[in-house]
Amino acid sequence: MENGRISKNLLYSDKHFELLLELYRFSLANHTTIEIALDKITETVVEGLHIERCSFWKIENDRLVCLNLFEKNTNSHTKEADLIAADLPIYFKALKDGIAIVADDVLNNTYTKELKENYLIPLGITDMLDLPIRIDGKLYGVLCCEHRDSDRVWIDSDLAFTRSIADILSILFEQNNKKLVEKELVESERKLSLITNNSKDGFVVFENKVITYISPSYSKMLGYSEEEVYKMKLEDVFNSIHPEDVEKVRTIIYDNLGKREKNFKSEFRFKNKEGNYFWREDTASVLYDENGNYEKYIIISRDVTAIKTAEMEIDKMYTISKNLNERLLDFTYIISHNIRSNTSNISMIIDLIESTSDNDEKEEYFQLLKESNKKLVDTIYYLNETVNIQLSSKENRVKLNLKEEIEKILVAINAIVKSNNVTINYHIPDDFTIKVIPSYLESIMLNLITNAIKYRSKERDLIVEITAKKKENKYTISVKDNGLGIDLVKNKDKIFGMYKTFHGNPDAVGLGLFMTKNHIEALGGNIGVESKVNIGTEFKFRLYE
Amino acid sequence: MSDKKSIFVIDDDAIFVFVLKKLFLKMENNTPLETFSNGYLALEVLKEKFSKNEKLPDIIFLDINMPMLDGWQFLDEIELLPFGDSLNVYVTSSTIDTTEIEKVSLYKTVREFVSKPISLAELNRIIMN
Repeated sequence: MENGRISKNLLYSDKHFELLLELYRFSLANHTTIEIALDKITETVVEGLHIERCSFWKIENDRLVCLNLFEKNTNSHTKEADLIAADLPIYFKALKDGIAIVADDVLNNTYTKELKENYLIPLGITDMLDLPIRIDGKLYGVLCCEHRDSDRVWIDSDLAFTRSIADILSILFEQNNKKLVEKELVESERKLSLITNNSKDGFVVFENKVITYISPSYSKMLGYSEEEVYKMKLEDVFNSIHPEDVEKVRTIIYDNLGKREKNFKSEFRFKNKEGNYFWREDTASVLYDENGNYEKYIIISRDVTAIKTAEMEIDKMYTISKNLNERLLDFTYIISHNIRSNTSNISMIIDLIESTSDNDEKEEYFQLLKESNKKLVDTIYYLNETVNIQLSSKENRVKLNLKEEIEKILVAINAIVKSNNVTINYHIPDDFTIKVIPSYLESIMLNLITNAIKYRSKERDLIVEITAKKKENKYTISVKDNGLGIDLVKNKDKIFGMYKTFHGNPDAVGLGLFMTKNHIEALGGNIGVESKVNIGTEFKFRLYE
Repeated sequence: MSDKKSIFVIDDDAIFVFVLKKLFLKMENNTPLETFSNGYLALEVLKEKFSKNEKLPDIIFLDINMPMLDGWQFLDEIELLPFGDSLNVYVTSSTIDTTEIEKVSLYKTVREFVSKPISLAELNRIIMN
């Protein structure tokens, strides 16, 4: 078939069709570089159009850069020097507008005459067919077909053939660019995995609510295999969070996602595969799409159990020492108050003694002075005792039979019990033993029993019930009476305080229960009280083996 | 203003009350004191006087540490009563706890915190106020 002659029905000549088919095959099977593809394309165009030259120019920063030129004469690939776009405004604008430049008379053609002096005349070019190559709708380069034969006329089939070639070229460039992007992605993921594989921090990436990446360190931290982590659903994740933390975490995540926050942190306990909780600190980085939905959710998770445990230990120590300090301050105030109330009385009495010359009056004040002094001495004695309780709590403990101990105390207070018509019932197994400091147990039991006698009701005879129970390593001993009772609503926090009394009883020094509590606490136990006004009171204390 | 002022002393410390009585005897307008060993007893008397439209005390000396109804509980109770703001209460204590001393200013009816021991001169100043 002769060049330029086309059938009326077919746009492509048979030759063109064959060449295009070959080029398609080549491009589909192509695993080679863009350079080799350009060699093939330029050769195909020169052959298909029967022309002298074919070249491809890429547009770079307002320059036209020749990437490949095939010359039929020399049968070789070379390059032309760059052309400056600013020198060729009309030509360049045409390319930008997507116009195919078809010039049979290049020296006079509107679009090509700008090339006359520096390009066309020196190269002897007479005919040009230039097609813009676009990628993603943007001008990327130009395919130039050039001939040195003034009689040449471009026909429809030439244009159709070249257009098809240009399309193939566009596709090749697009594919090549995609490959480059993919290569970059692979490279950046390789870098990411280098970081994540060597980090102790765990990395997790969610895309569209599905886990797309987890680092080995993350599955290691959780104790699960990678497959198991990939299979985790969102509800599995929330179910593994400690029940006390889960609402807090949920709130942090959904609040921040709602506000389109790019970065946020949360700290919570998480159950590993073995079922043990560890503290983790998560730093989340989130990418959102234009609708505000998250596209990519990257979590960097760190096991902070050691730090957290240390923190909690410090908090605990701080609370203990704060409580101790408060108690110490309270104690200091009480002591100073009790000492001062006596010394202030003494100084006021001395003022009185000085203000009178009457010897009888002086004698009266002197008796008062002696009384005040005794109270002061007692206060200091009790203070001393209190300090001793704290100091001697490490003293050797002795195994005692509780029933025998209580019987000893009852013998000692027999006179008061008889004279006040008191009934004391005790229900304690014969073999009930308890390991204590003997003087403390004696003081505790004596105080609780005499306390009951002191605050008995005048309306009925006093009955005191003493019971003891042992459960595992816990002893519970109860002293219950049917006496006056204490208004616990008003006095709950004062019952065991120093010098707090409740009944306006002149015998009440208010020290007994304070000492009792101190003794029990020194033995590592605790004491509680239940009481109803005019019904009775029950003191219960617990000691541990 | 009548020369003799009526005075309540609410304190469980028998020695202090006795000494205070003696000190008042030595003052020019010696005034008999009505004494109460806890806030509860004093509150009952105040309520009764009020209901019978009798004269309420001009001055009340109030201790803090007391059985039954302590100084703070007494102040809380009288704040709820119609005459709660009109009493002249002097809180007397040997405490050095500053939080307790500062707490006094929360009660409108309290004029002053007076630290024990109290001298004759101080008593005179309070009576003359």
